[in-house]
Amino acid sequence: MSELSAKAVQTPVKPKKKKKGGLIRDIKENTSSYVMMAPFMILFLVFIVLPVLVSVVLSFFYYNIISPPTWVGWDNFKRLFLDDDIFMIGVKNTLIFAIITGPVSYFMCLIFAWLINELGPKLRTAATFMFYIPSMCGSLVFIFQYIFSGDSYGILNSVLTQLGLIDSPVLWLKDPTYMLWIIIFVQLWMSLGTGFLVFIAGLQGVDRELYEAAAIDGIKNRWQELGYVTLPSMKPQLKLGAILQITGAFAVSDIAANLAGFPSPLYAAHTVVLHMQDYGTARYEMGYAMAIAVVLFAFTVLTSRLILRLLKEKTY
Amino acid sequence: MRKVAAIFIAIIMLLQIVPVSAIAAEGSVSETLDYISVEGSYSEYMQNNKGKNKPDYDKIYPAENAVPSEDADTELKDYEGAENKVLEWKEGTGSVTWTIEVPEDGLYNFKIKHIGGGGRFVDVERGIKIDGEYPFDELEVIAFSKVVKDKYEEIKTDNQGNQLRPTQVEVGVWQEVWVTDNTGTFGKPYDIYLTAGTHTFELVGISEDLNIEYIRIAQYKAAPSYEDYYAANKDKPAGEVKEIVIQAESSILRSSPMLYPQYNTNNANNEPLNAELTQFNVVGGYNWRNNGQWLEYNFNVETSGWYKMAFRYTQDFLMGIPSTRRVEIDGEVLFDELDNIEFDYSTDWQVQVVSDESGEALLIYLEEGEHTLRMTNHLGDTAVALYNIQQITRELLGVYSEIIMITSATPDLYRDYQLTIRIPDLLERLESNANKLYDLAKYVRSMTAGRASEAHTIERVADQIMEMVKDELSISKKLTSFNSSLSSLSSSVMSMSEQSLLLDYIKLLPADAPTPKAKANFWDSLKLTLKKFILSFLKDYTSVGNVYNGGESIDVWVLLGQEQANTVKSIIDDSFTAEYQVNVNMNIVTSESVLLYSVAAGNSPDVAVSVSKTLPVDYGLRGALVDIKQFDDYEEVTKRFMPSAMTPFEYLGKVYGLPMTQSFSMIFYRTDIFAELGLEVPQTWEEVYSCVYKLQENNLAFGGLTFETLLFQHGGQYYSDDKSECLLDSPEAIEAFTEYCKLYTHYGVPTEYNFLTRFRMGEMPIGIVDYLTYNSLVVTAPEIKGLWDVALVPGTVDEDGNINRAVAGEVTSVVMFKTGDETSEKNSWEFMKWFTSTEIQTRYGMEIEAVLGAGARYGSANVEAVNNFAWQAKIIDVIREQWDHVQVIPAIPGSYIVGRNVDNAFREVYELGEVPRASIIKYVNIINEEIARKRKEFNIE
Repeated sequence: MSELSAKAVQTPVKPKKKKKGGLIRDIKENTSSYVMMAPFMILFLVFIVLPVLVSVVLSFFYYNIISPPTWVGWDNFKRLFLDDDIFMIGVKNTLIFAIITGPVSYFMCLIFAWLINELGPKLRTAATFMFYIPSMCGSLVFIFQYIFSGDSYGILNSVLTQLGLIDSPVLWLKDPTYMLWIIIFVQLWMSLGTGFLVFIAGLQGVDRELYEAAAIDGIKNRWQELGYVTLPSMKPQLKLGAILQITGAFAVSDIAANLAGFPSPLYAAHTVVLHMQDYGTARYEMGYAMAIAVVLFAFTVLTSRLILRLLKEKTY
Repeated sequence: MRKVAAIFIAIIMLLQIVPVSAIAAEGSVSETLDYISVEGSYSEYMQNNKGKNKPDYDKIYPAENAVPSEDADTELKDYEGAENKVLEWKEGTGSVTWTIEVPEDGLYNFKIKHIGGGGRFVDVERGIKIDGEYPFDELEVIAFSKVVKDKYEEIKTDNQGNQLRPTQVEVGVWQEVWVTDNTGTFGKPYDIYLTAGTHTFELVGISEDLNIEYIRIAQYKAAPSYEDYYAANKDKPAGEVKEIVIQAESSILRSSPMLYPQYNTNNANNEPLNAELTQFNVVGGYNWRNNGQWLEYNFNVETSGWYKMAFRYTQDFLMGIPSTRRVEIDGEVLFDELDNIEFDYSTDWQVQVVSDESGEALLIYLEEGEHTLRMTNHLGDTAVALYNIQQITRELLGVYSEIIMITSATPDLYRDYQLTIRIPDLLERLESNANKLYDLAKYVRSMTAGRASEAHTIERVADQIMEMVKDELSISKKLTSFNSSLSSLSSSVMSMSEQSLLLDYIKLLPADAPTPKAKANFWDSLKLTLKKFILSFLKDYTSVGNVYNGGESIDVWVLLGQEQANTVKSIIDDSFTAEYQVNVNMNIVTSESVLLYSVAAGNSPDVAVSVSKTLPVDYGLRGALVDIKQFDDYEEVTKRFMPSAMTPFEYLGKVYGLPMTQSFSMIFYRTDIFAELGLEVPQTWEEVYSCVYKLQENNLAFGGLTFETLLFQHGGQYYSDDKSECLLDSPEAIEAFTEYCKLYTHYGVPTEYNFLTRFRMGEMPIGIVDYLTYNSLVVTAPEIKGLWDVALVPGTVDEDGNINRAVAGEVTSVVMFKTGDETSEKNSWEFMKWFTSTEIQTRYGMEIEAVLGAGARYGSANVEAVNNFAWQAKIIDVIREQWDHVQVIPAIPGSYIVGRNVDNAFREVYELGEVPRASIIKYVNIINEEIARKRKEFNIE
C-alpha cells in the first residue's frame, strides 16, 4: 500500500523536469497513477478548492442568494474593515477565544495523551474513549444549558444558592461578564478531539529503542525523556495537532450560538464565523459573508504558518 | 458437626420462606382503600350515604314528559331507531326538567339514552340538578362521549400502495349510558340519594347538541361471578368450535378519533405484516391511555359453543402497574373477570388469555350469529389510589405555597422563619398527609404485587414529610426537595392514570387450542430486520402520500412534523385533488434555509406551508414570491383572518403571503392563590404594578411581562406608517421601555423561568402567556385542575374609559413562489385559498388533535376554524375578545435587526446599569442605520 501511494505522489513531479509536452501527454504517460489519484483529486477540487475559489470571487459581488449577483468591487472589504463595529467585536472575541482555547487545549491534549499513554492497553483504550466522547457528541452542549441556566432552578444557580453564595439567580448565559468565559470553558471540555487522538497515535509510534539508547546516553528522568526523545520523534503529529487546534479555535460558532443564542446579547459571544452566518443566513448578504470568510481564511492560513514556524524553531 | 449445623440453618431458612410468601399472598387481596373525603365532592357524598338502602326499581321517563326551560333550544321529533319521541336539544342552551317519583328512600342510579350529533369530536357536557340543586360537585359537568367511525367503508391507499389513515366522522349511534364520571375515578355509576316521593331531575345545558330519548332510574348491578355465569350457560347446546380472529385495527366504532389504526413492524408475528408498504395492523398504544376510551368490533360465530379469549399486545408504557380493560360482548360484561382484564408490563409482545387466578382459561359461551365486542379502557382498582394521591398532592401544594409565601422559594438557610407559629396547623397537616401517603403506598404495593415504582415514590415523599415534621427547623432547608417530590407525585398521577395498550388482535379459540405465540422466532425476526434495513434505502421518506408525475400538479413544501404533514397530505388527496383535479406532490423540509437554496438553484416549490413571519417580505422583496394581491378574490380571502394577521405580509402595497396560524397571549392565573391573597385579576397596568408588588411581598412572581404589550398599550408602534424607520425612540416608546425595564430592575420580576412548572407549583401564580398554554395545562397539570382560569390581558384606560388591551401576536404563513408558469400559479392560489379556508383549517385542526391529543390543539389563523375547535364556551369567548386586541409587528427588510437590538438595549440596562432612555435611543439609531441601508439596497425611496 505505502509503496503504491508513494509512487502516486512522486509521478506528477516528473514533468516539471521535462517542462515539455504538457499535462495531457503526462497523463498519457502515467495513466495508471493519474487514475489512482483521480478519486481524491476530483473530490478535493470539487468540494474544497472550488468552494474556496467561488467564495473569493463572490466576495467582490453583491449577492442576496435569490437574485443574481452584481459586481461591487472592494466595497464589501471596505465596509468590513471601516464601517462594521460588530465585526470588530467578533474579531476581538475570536482572538480571545483562540489565544486562550488554542494553546490551553493544545497542551491539555498533549498532557492527557502523555498520561494516558502510560496506562495499560485496555485501560488506555477506555480512557481514550472517555476523553474523546465530548467531541463526538457535540449536541450534548444542551446539558450546559441546564447547568448554566439563568433560571433560579438552573443547576449552577441552585447549587450556589444552596451554598449561600448568591441570593438571586445569575444569568450566566445572558450576562456579558460571564458569557464568553463559560463558552471558553465548554469549548475546552469539548476540545480534546482529533488533536488528542493524533497525539496518542504519535506517542504510540515512538521507537522504543530510542528510549534505551537515550538511557545509555545518560538521560536522567522522564522530563528529559519527554524533551529529548518523545516530542522530537512525534514532530509531524505535533504540527498536525497545532493546525487542528488553530483552525478549531478560529471556527468556534456552534457552541457559542447554542449556549448564548444567535446573536448573543450585546454580541458578547459573537465570533467571526457567527458574524458570517449572520450576514449569510439572516441578512441574505452572501457577498459580504464571503468577504468575511475570505478574511478569516487568510487569517487562519497566516496564523498556521506562524505556528508551524514557531514549532520548527523549538523542536530540535 | 458441620453437616448438622448446615441442615439446621437450611431448615430455619425454609421455615422463614413459607410465612413470608403467605403474608405476601394475603396482602395482595386484603388491602382496601377509602376515597379521601373532599368537601362538596362525590367522595364526601358517598361517605355520608354509606350503607343506605338500594331499592330495586326501574322506570323510564320519556323525553316527551320533559319540560324545557324558556331559553332552551329544543324540539320533539321522531327519530329512526327510537321508540319514543326524541328531544333534540341544540347547543348547551337552557335546561330540561323531568318530574320523577321513587317508591322508597334509597340510593338510585340513572341512565340516559341519547344519540350524538353536530359533527364535532367533542364530548357533550351537561350538568344534573336534583330538586334544583347539584347534590355534589361532580354532577355540575357530566360528559357524554360521541361515537366515531371511518368515513369510508374501505381503507384508502395512495398510488404507491400505502394505506392512508382513514378519515373519521362522528356518527349518531343510540347509546344508553349510566350517569357516571368519565374520568373513571369512582368506577361505578353515581349513587344518588332520593327520598320517597316526587323530585325534579334537571339537565343543565353546557355545550354541544344532545338528543335524548329518555332518562331512566335503575340499579347498577355488578357482573356475575364466573361460577354463576357458567352455571347459567352450561346446559346450552355447544358444538365443535373454530378459531375466530378479530384484528384489533378493524374496529367499526370507537369513542375517539385518536384510536385510528396504526402500522407496526417491530415484531415478525404481528398480524398482518407488510414490511414494505404501510398496512395497518395494530391499534391503541399511547393514544388509548384515557379511561373510558373504547373500541367496538363485529364478529360472526358459526357454531354455538365455548371459547377462550386471547389478546396479543404490548404494554411497555406503565412500568409495574398493569393496564386494565373491560370487555363487553353484545353490551354486557359476562362475568366479573371480564370487567377488569389486566395487561402486564413488558417491553415485548405478550399474549394474554382470560383466565382465573390459577391460570385456568375461563371460557365464554357464544351463540351462533353476529356479535359485537367492545373493549373499554377501565381504570379499575387504580382509580381510588389515583383520586387520593391527587387530593393529597393538592393539599400539599397548598401547604407549599403557604410556606413559600413566608420563606420564598429559595429560603435563607440560616434563618428561623418560625413557620409553626405563622402557620399554626402546619405540622398536623403535613403529618396527616404523610400518613395518608403511607396507606396509599401500601395499597398500591398490594395492587401491583410490589412491582410498581410508584409505591416507592409515594413512600419516599411520605418519609421526607415525616422528617420535616420531626425537625421543624429543617422545613425551610428541605423546601427544594419538597418541591421536586410534589412534582414527582403529580407525575406519578399522570403515569398511573394513563393506561396505554397496543393491541394486535383478539382471538376466540377452542378450549383445547394452544395459546398463540407472542414473539417471533429468531429467524423470522432476522428476516424482518434485514428486509426493513434493505427497504430503508429504497423508500423515500420525505415525500408523503400520492406521488404524481403527469397531469397538472403543484409542489408543496411543508415545514411541519411528520404527523402534521401526513394529515395535511391525506386531506389534500381526499379533498383538494378530488375537487380541483390538481395533483399535489408534498415534501417535508426541516429548515427554511432549504427554501433559500432551492430558490438560488431555480428549483423552488410552488407553495411553502408553515414558514416564518418575516420570510414573505424578505423573499418577496427579492423577487422570489408572487404578489397575491393581484388575484381578484384576494380581498374576499383576507376576511377569514383578523386584520392583524395580514400585517406582516404587506410591504409597499404588495402582499406576499397568507397566515396559517396566529398565536397571542392571555392571562393565566391561579384562582386558589389569588383568593388566598385577596387579589383580583389586574385589569389595568396600575393594578398590575400593585399585583406584582403584592406577589413579591409573598415571594411570588408575575410572569410573561413583555415589552411589546407595554409599547402597544402606550400607543407606541414599531415602525412609522410607511415602514421607513423605527419609532422606538418616540416619547410613548421610551416611556414604555422605561416602565418595562423598571419591572425587572425595580420590581425584580424574574427574566428566566419555566412558566408551566412554576405555575403548577404556585410560585408564579399569574402570567401573560400564549393562549395555547391552556391545552398544556389541561393535559399535563391534572393536580391543579379547577384551580386556575384565563382572563384578558390588562390594559391602559383612555380618556373615554375604554381599556386598550393590546398584545403582540405571532403568525406563520403560506407563500407562493414565482415560477413564471401561469397555470401552476393559478393552481397554487387555489391551493392557498383552499388550505386557509374555514372548512379545511377546521378539519386539519380536528384531525391533528385527534392524532396527537388535546395538548396539540391547533392555533389556526382562521377565526371561524378556531371557533369550531373543542374549546369550552366560556374560554372561547375570552379568546375571541382578546384576539380583537392583537397587533402583529410588521415585517420590513431588516426586521432581524430590531428584535436583537431591543434585547441589547434591555440587557444594557439590566446587566450594565445603563439609563433606559439613553440605551433605547442608542440602539434605535443602530436599527435605523440598518433599515436605511436595506432600503438603499432595494432602491426604496
